[in-house]
Amino acid sequence: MYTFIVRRLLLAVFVLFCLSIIVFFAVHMIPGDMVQVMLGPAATKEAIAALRKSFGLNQPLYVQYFLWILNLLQGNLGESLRMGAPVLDAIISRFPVTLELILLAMGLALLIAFPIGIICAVKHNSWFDHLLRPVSVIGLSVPDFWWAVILIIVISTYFPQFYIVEYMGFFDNFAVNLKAILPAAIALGITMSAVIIRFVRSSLIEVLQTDYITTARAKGLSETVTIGKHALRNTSTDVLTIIGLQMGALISGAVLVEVVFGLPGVGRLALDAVRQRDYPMVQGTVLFMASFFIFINLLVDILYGILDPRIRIS
Amino acid sequence: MPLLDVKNLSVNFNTLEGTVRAVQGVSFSLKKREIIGIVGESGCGKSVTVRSILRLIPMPPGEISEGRIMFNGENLLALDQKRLRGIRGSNISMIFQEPMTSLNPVFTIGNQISETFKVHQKMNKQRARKATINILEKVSIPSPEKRFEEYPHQLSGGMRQRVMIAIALACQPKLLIADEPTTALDMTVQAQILDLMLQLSDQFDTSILLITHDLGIVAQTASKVIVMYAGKIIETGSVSSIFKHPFHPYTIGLIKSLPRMGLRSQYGKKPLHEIPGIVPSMNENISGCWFAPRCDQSMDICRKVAPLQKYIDSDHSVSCWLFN
Amino acid sequence: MENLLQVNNLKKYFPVKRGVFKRTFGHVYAVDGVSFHLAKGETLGIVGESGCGKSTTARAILRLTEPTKGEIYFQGQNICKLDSSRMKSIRKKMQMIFQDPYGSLNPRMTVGNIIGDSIDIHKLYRGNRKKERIVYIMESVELNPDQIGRYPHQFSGGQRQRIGIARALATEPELIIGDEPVSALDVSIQAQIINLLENLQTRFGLSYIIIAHDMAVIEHMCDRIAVMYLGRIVEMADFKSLYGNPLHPYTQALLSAVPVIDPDTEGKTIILKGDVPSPINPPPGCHFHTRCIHKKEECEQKVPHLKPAGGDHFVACHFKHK
Ligand SMILES: Nc1ncnc2c1ncn2[C@@H]1O[C@H](COP(=O)(O)OP(=O)(O)OP(=O)(O)O)[C@@H](O)[C@H]1O
Ligand SMILES: Nc1ncnc2c1ncn2[C@@H]1O[C@H](COP(=O)(O)OP(=O)(O)OP(=O)(O)O)[C@@H](O)[C@H]1O
Ligand SMILES: [Mg+2]
Ligand SMILES: [Mg+2]
Repeated sequence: MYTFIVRRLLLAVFVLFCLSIIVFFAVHMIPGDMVQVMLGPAATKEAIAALRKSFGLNQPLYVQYFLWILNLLQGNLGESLRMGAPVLDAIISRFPVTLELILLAMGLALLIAFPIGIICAVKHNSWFDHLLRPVSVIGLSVPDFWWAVILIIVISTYFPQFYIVEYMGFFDNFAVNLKAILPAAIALGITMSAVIIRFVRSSLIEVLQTDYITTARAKGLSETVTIGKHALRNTSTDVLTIIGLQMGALISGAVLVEVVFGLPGVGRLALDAVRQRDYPMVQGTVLFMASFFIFINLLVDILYGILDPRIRIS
Repeated sequence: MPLLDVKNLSVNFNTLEGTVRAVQGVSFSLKKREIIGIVGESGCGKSVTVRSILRLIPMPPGEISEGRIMFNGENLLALDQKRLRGIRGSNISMIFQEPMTSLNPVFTIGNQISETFKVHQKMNKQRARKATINILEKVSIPSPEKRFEEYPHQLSGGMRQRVMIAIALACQPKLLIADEPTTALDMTVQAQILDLMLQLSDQFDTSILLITHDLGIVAQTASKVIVMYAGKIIETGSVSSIFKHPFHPYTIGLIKSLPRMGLRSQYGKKPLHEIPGIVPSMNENISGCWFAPRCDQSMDICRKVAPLQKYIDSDHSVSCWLFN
Repeated sequence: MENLLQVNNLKKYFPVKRGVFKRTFGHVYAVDGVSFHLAKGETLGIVGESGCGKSTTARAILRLTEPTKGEIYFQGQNICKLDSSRMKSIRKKMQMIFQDPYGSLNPRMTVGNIIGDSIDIHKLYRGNRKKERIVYIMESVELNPDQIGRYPHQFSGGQRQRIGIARALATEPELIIGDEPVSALDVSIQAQIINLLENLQTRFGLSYIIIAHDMAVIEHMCDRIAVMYLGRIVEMADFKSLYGNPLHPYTQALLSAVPVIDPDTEGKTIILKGDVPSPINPPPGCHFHTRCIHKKEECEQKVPHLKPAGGDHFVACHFKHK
C-alpha cells in the first residue's frame, strides 16, 4: 500500500511536469499578443517593444519557460500582467467558490445517482429501469451550460426571490452564497448524475450476479444486507474510479457554468485571462486546476486501496 | 418422513433464444443423515435443481413452473421470504464450486463467517467472534485468530473452501448442499476437503446432497445416486446397485467410458467406450426420450413418447423403454 | 529407440517485482531443473498439483517462453540456441493443444481459416491442394468437412477440441504437447477425444506429452509418467511400475486420493496435511518435506535428486519409501 502511494505520487509529479510544458507552450501559441491588445492598434513599434521588454516577453521562449519553472518550484506562479498582483493570490481567493461548486455538484450527483442506480439494478428490466434509460441519455447528451441557462431563466422568471445578482462568500452570508451556488451546482450535477447512474447500475448488476452474492443469500441474509453490505461495497470501488475520471468533466463544466451564473471562481478567472492574453494567469490557473484534478485522482487511488483489500494487502 | 422431498420440480429460463427447460419434472427424496450424489454432464440441470431448493436461481429469467419441495414438513416453494431466509444458512446451507469467487473479496474471513451467527443465532459481536474462531478450528484452519482478520485473497483455494464449509456448517444445518465442492481443487486437496466434509456432517448429523461429475467421488462417499440427463432424472438407486447393475444405456455408457485405474496394467490398452454424439441443447423441443438420438438400443417408441420412471426394485428406478 | 526429445536440467524462473521501482525481489521457481526424454511414438505424461510448473515446462519446450537455463534437444538438435527463422521450421514439428478449446480459437475465423492459417504460416500447401488438405485433416479428427465455413461458437465443447487438434495436425507435426486437453470436457466427450488422440498417434506416428490431473486418464494414455512437485520431477517411471509400485510419498498420496468408481474398494486415502507451499520461496531441501509423513531431518536440508530405483523407475527421495 505504501509503495503503491509513493508510485502514484511519483507518477503525479511526472505528469505535472509534462503538463507544465504543454500548458506553457500552448498558451504562447494563442494568436495575438497581450501587449498589442493593451496598447491598441495605434501603438508605435517602440512602445510595444519597450512594454514587451518590461514583461520579459522579448526573451526566447525556452528561457521564459525556464524562468517560469524556476519560480514555480519556489511556489511563485508569477505576477498577473494585467492586475499586477501575484497569480497565486488571485487563484487562492477565487478557488473556494469553484471548490464549493464542484463538491456540491458531486454531492448532488451522488445523492441522485445512488438510489436511482440501485433501484435500476435491483429491478433491472422493470418499467422503471426502461423509463430511466432514455432519461439518462438526455441527461448525458445535454451539456451542463445549457442546463445552466435554462435554470437561470426558470429561476428569474418563476422564483425571482431566489435570483441572486451579487455573489457573497460562504462565511459572509451563507444563505446568499447557497442561493448563488446551488443552481450552478444543480446544472453541473445533472449531467454528472446521469453518468453515475449508468455506472452504478451496470456495476451493481454485474456484482449481483457474482458467486459471493449467492453465498450471502444462501447464508440467509436479507436483501437489504446482501445489497447494502456485500454488493454496494464492491460497487463503490468501481464508482470511485469514475468519480475521479469525471472530475475532469466537472472542472471544465465549472468554467462555463461559472461564467453563465457570474460566479467569481477560478474558471472565470481563467477565461478572462485568456481573453486578455494574460499569460502568467492562464498558465497558473490551468496548472492549478490540473494539479487539483491529479490530487483528486490520487485521493481516489488511495481510497480505492483502502476500500479494496486486494490492493491494500498484496 | 424424509427430510427433503422434491416432487415433480420443473424450472424454466425464459431467454431471448427461447425457453430453456433446465429441469423437467424431477422427483427425489433424502432421508436424515443420508448422502445422495447427483451426477450428470455439464448443463444437465444439476445446479439448477439444487439451487431451486433454496430458491437461489435468478428470477427472472428463471421460473419454478411446477413442483413441491417439502423440507421437514414445509413446502419451501410456498414459504414467504422471511421464513425462507430463516432456513437458508441455518437448516439448509450450500457450498459452491469456485472457492475463488464465492467469498466476498472486500470483507475479512471472520466478518463473513460471524455474519451467519449474528443472523441466525442473534449473537453479539464478541460471542460471534468466539463461535467463528471455534468453527475455524473445526475446519482445521491453522492459527484461526490470525485468519479471522485475513481476506479471501490471502488464502489458498483449499483454505477458502474450508472457510465456505465453516460458513455452511456454522449453524449445524440438517442439510448441506454441496455443488461440485472439489472440482476446482487439486487431487490431494480434494481428498482433504471431502474428508473434512464427511467428518463434520457425521458429527453434526447433517445430510448431504452432493453434486459432482466425478463418478468416483459418488462411489466413495454417497449411499444413493441420482443420474441426470438433459434436465431429467433417468436413473436412481443405491450406489452399489447403480455401479454394479446400471440399467439405463446412458448410465452404462457413462460408467464404461471412464478410464479406470489399474485396468490397463491388467488387461492392456483398449479403446475407451464412447457415447456417440453430444448432449442436446435444452431449448430444443424433443418428444420422447432425450437420450434416444445417442442411444444404440433406441426403438421406435423412444423417439415418440417419453418413458416413465419405473422401479426395478425398491431402491432402484430407471426411465427407459427397455424396462417398461 | 531414438530420442525425439531430450530435456536436460530445464529451469524457468519468473522474477517477482516489488517496491516503488519494481526491483526484482525474488523469483518464482516455476521449473527448477527438470530432465526427461521422449522416444519417437511414445507418450509421456506429466502430472502434479496446480502451479507446479507443468504448463511452463511445456511452453519452454516450444520456446513460447524462454528457458532460464537448460538444454532442449529436438531430433538431436539443441533448439535453445536457434534463431527465430530456424526455430520456426522446428516449431512446425512441435504443436500444442490447450485445455480451453474456446479460449484458444479465434472467434472471428472459420474452421477452414483456422486450419488453413497453420498451413499458410509454414507455407506447406497452396490453392486446391491446401483445400484438400484442410478437408483431409477435418476428416481425420472426425469433423464434418461440410462445416468448414462455421465459426468456433457454432460447435460444442468436444468439437472445438477437435478443431484445436486439427489446427495442431495441420503443420504435420512429430510431437504434440497437450496441456490438459480433456480436463474441461464431459466424461462421454472425454472418451471420444482420448480415443481420437490415440488413433491419430498410431496413424501419423506422433509422439505426445500429455499434461493432466486425472490419474486414470494419464494411466490410460501414457507410457511413461513424470510426477512434478513445485517445479521438480519427484518421480518418473513407466505406467506399470508407477501405478503398481509408487515410491515417492507424494505419488503415493496422489494415487491414493483418486476416488475409484467401485464402491466396494475401500480406498485407503492418504490425507496430506497442509497446502502446496508457494513456489516463490519454496522450502529448502526436499520441497515436499512440509507435508511428508516420513519426513526426517535430512529432508529439510538436502535436495534429493532423481535417482534410478530399478529399471526405468526414477525417484527423488532420500528414503525411497516402499
Ligand atoms: N441464468 C440462466 N439463464 C438461462 N439459462 C440458464 C441459467 N442458469 C442455467 N441455465 C441453463 O440451465 C441448464 C442447466 O444448468 P445447470 O447450471 O443446472 O447445469 P449443471 O448440471 O449444473 O452443469 P455444470 O456441470 O456445468 O455445472 C443449462 O442448459 C443452462 O444453460
Ligand atoms: N508469466 C508468468 N509470470 C510469473 N509467474 C508465472 C508466469 N507463468 C507462470 N507463473 C508461475 O509459475 C508457476 C508454475 O505455473 P504453471 O502454469 O506452469 O503451473 P501448472 O503446473 O501448469 O499449473 P495448472 O495445473 O494450474 O495449470 C506458478 O506458480 C505460476 O504462478
Ligand atoms: Mg453446475
Ligand atoms: Mg497449466
